[in-house]
Amino acid sequence: MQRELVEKISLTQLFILVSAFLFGSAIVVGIGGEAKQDSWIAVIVACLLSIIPVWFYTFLLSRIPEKNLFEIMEIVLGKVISKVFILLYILYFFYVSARVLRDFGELIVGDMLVNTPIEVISITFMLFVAYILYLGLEVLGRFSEIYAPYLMGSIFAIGILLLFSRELHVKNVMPILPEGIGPVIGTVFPELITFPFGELVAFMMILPYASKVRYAGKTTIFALIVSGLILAYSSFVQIATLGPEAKLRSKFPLLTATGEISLWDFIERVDLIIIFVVMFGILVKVSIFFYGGLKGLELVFNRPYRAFIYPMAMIIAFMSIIISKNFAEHISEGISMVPWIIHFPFQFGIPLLLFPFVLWKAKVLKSEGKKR
Amino acid sequence: MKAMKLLLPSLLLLGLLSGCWDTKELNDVAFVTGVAVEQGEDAKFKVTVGVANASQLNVQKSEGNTPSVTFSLEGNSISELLDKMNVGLTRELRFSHTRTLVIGEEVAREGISGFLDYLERSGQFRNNFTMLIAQNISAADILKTTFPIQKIPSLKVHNQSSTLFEQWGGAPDMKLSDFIAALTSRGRQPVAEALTIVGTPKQGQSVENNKKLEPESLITLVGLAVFKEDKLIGYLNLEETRNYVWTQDLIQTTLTVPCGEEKYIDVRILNSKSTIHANYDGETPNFQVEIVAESFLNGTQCKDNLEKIETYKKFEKDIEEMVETMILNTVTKVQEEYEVDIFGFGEVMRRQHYQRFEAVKDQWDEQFSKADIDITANIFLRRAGTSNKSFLTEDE
Repeated sequence: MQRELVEKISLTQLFILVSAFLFGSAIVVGIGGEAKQDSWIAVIVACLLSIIPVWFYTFLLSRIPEKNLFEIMEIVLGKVISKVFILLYILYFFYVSARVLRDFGELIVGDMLVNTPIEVISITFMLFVAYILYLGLEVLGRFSEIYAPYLMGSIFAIGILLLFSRELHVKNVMPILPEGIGPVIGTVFPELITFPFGELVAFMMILPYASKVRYAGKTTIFALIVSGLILAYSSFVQIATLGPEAKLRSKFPLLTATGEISLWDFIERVDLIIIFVVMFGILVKVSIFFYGGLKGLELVFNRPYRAFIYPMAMIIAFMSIIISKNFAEHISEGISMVPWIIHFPFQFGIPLLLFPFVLWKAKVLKSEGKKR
Repeated sequence: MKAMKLLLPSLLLLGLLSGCWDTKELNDVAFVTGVAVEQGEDAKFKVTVGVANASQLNVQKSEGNTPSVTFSLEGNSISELLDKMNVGLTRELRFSHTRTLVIGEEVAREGISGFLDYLERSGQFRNNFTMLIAQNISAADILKTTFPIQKIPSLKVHNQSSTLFEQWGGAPDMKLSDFIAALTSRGRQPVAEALTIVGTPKQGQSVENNKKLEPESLITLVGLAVFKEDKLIGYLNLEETRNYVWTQDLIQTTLTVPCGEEKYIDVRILNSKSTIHANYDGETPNFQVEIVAESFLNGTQCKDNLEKIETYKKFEKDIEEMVETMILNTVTKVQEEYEVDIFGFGEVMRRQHYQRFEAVKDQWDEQFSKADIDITANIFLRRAGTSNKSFLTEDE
């Protein structure tokens, strides 16, 4: 079997990847809208609750060290059964990256490049992703390291610029929790817990490649909390600027909110910052899901994943177009079907199912190791 | 094979050029500065656009021609008309720099939500444009009345209203997004600015108008247009508009307060802040509006000695009394005459007593018109310009 050199990413890079991954599309499409003016609370709650599954993922990985999710499946379930699950996961990863790509395409075509066909956006974007992944995970890590400060800086700058433009009305956030915690919990399950936080399951393919695996879990959880807070902040800024109704109406609330920035009739039209933030987040998100799927293909077909990159990239670009006929279909699938039918089983179902087997296998391996 | 290796990347690189798909050279587009919508004669709407003639705005290149061109079309949807404007205009229109939206009175009375949806949805318009209602005149005339200092009419109106808002508070700070927010909110009804033309509109339509010291026709702001849902139901005058703005977010204003028989003091008000407390008194809602502001004396016609604390105290009391009655009168007028909550008292009620508001939110305007409003002003007179005692003050 022909495998490439094992790549390593540093903990800083892992931290950045996790946060950019979480911002990804979540920061644009406006999450937790159902909780109205309390959606920022919902984001915090969901983020804190997500520590449990993420901790569970890292725990699962730590039982059989230095193996990713698919390799663990192979060890635990045997070659044949594991292949079924791995193929399902590959489909899941590719489907989600196609969805994320579609989010981005809709944003660009709907708001910026109105005359450009969405196919062109998808294909060029995937070419870029394919090129990065062809060079390897390390390149993705370093790439993110370079751009992360701009990402964080822009997100904070937006809030501050809005504040100085006198567009941040804290009264829009009032009243806090007028109907109790009910609506908040309603958005946390299943929406927020699966998107964006539960999608961290894709990092089960990345974590074993962190340079200091022992700290990888802690880094991920730390990144989760930090980006959860930043997402809540962004949600807060959106509500305070637009009000809960307009935020719900807007396709890309953060973009709409940024449009309100106007300082001294001079700093205006800074929406482009948002497009940059989004592009970077989406890039990381698509790349990581894509990488997860590719790693699966590598395992199943016993060939280095680089052989699959370009054809698969084009398939994802194609999928991103055909998964839905129009924007309404795209969004309603994302709200009513994807969380229950797709996210839940892959994010929580299968890992939980795997759990007893992993524990048992880890014990066996340990005793075997001792015998030797 | 080697050729393939070169060819493939270059073909892939071609894809990156697609970023230029939507480019438009600057000399292919024209920027719309104002849009006017009014009742059409044969169709639902008559839409007029004012397009900037950029070369005339450049001091060196200006030939004294018109700085702005207008064109009108009639039809049933604004978006179609805006895309069809090339029936009479040369370039592709861009709406991102639109500063004013003038709405004719008849259209406003019938309801405007139909085309506001397009404006919010299209993404071409920024929402930082001013919403204006043309009172008694054709909305298109607003886009055609020149002014020597700010040559493009729609930019002139935009500057005019934002300066009036900043200096005296006589215009609401009502942008498209605020208007729609008020429209969707149960606890607030929208308002817009009203304006009209003084003089003969026809005379203002030529650059010649700019050569007169006293323009033959001039766009003036007249106050506030009051809406019920999306329909215009009436107007408030400038004074009342200022009082309305005072309950919202007044920046500064000037008051003339009586200090004796036919004598007045002029007071500049700044740093004003109004807070509203909502409550339910049995079945009637009541609101305490608390206004805190700083002020300084601009001038006096009275003889009171401005070196004495008592004078300051007396003046402060006079100002407070005047502010209280003035604002209360405006609120009462709106309560009795229009019965719509333009002040957003309902939103305050929603924030402070969510359950009570939810129970009556569908009949909020009725609740508002029977509400008890109590205004308390707390004005601090800080100083009186550069002199101490006025020369009017007699030595004792």
